[in-house]
Amino acid sequence: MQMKSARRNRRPVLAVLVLVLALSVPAGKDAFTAQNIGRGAFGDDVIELQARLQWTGFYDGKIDGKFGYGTYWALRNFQQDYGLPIDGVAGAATKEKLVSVSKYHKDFVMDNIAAGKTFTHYGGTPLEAQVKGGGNGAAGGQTANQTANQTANLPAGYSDEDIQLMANAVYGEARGEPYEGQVAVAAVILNRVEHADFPNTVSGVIFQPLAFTAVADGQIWLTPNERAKEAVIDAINGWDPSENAIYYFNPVTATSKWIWSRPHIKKIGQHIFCM
Amino acid sequence: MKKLIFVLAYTVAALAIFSWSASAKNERLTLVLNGQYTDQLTEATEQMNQLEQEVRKVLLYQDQTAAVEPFDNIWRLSSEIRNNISGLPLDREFTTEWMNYLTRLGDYAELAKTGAIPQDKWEKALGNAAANLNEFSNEWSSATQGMFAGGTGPDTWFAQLESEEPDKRWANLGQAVKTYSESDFPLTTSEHDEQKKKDLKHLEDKPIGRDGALGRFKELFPDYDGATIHVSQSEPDAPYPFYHIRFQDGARIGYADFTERGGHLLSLLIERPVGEDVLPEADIRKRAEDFLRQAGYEDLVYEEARENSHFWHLSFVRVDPDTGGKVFADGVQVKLAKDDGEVLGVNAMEYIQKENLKAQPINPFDPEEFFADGTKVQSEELGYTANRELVQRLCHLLIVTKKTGGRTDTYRLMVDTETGEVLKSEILD
Repeated sequence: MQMKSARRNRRPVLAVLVLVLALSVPAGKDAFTAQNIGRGAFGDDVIELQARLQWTGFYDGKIDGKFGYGTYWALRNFQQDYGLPIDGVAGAATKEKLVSVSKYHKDFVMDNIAAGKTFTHYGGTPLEAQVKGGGNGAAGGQTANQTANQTANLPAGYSDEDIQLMANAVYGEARGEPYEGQVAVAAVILNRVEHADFPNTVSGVIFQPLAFTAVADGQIWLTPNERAKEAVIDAINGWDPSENAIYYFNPVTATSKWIWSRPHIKKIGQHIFCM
Repeated sequence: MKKLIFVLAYTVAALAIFSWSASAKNERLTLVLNGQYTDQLTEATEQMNQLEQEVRKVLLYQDQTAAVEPFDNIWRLSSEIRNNISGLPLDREFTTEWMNYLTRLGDYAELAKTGAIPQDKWEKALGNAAANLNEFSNEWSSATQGMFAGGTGPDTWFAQLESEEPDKRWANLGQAVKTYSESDFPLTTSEHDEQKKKDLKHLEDKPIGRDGALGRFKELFPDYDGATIHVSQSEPDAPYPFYHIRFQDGARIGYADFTERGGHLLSLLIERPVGEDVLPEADIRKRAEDFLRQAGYEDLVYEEARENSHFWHLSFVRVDPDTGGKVFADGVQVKLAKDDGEVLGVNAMEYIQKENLKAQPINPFDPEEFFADGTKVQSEELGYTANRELVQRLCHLLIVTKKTGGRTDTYRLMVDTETGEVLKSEILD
């Protein structure tokens, strides 16, 4: 009876032990999705790839989920050292080898990304010693995925700050407009940046006095939605439904005579786009 | 009753305090803004005088080396004045013309410094500019008179800007600067070509008409045959005429623009909800390539891809059949849904008018001589990029890596095959 009771007492202890082990063992073989991961990819698979490459000492860049050249060369070097086909793409064989020779502390990585902290994920160094601070805690209750989604994979020359500012402007100026109209507003900002008559930075264009109503009435500080951000990404990738416009206005509310004198191109939603 | 009086008195007092506090804050902001504007205006005025002096100084020298410093100063000052002017609430017509003039002056000085503009030509242009800047300086003093006075706050500036009857002094000044731009820095042939390409003004194909545009849309996007479609034309004073097709098919809403001449697709964009499924990138790329082939874009090659939360953006560039060089200025971008690979966007605006490429020698290029020790050439091919005069040049397109301070950086370089000049260099993330 006593033995039975001792066994019974051990059961919760074992269960706790198993649970602790399960939680402390880094994500295993099935952590990656089935996707091949190559240059241009973005998201959680890339975060894991970068973390594992860093664990094995091949990657010294930022773990940000963007598969750029830094990740590409690191992966090729890994493939070379482990006798895998060298193509810079993380396919099934490469991922399997990576998983077998590295660890991935998903919670550690995702939590630090969510908190906006500077950190590394090298093997052989205690993780707590690899967090270098940074971040303002503004992420608050956000999950890592939400934070990762806030950055974007952009063409060279554009930053996350540009995206944020343009998304704010698009949302403040055109949130009730069709998607095409939102992309067109973002394109007008970019057309101005390239135009000799306007400042040559995104912020310079947006904050030019009285250039945008949303700046004048403070609506630029509203939190933009995903649709506005997507519109900005399309414009940055080259789409311009305004057909090269550098101005637009709402004919119902516009008071300036001057804006009516500009050559009109097309009307999208409530806005007339012009040269 | 006493309670009611107490509550009312309390409310009135709170409102009075709030109102006083808000008014004080506004007053402080107005003063700060007024100070900032006056500072920018003063600085722009001082820099304008310096700019005029530098333009005169550069005309002193026969020796190109001696002219380098004033050329640099012209470029720097024109850029700084642009910054100051862009932050001021001045007459819009004037600001745009003045910004344009300063950009042209700065770019011209930069080109003249490198010898890209013959001396007699820049002497003539900058001689005109010196005279015009002197005249402008007087007009500017007259227009800004009174703006430096403490009593002229931002409210007055904004009221003038929003007035239905703009101040004639500023309107005249804007007109004068426009004349200076046209006389001092007329567009070069390459700039004309660049503008023409952007405007698509001179397409020589036959007009396709409204039905032709609709037919072209259905031919390229047969899936939308049953969609509700609305076709309209560009406004009469648009820089180039086009048809604007808006359509809706269930949850899909989109537009497609086609040039009136030739019915070339300018761009298409469709909005629809995207599911959580994820198609492999290789399948996405194949779908984009299949679409481009079916649509008749047969001289394009894949260049790069970018994944975002629900979409892939893929870039393709034209390959010149004579040299095999990639013409980056003649590109097409395709947007696809990650869930099923549906083409949700095509941007072919830059592809319609092909770049005018001229034959160019390809001189031997030795990377070992060209690069410092430790630089590794990862790939080499041919590509075209515009030089400072906006002429497309054939280049060695190189991806190189170099380890600096424990970090490996990747560079993309474009080296002119004839002159060996580096026309483009960027660090890739």
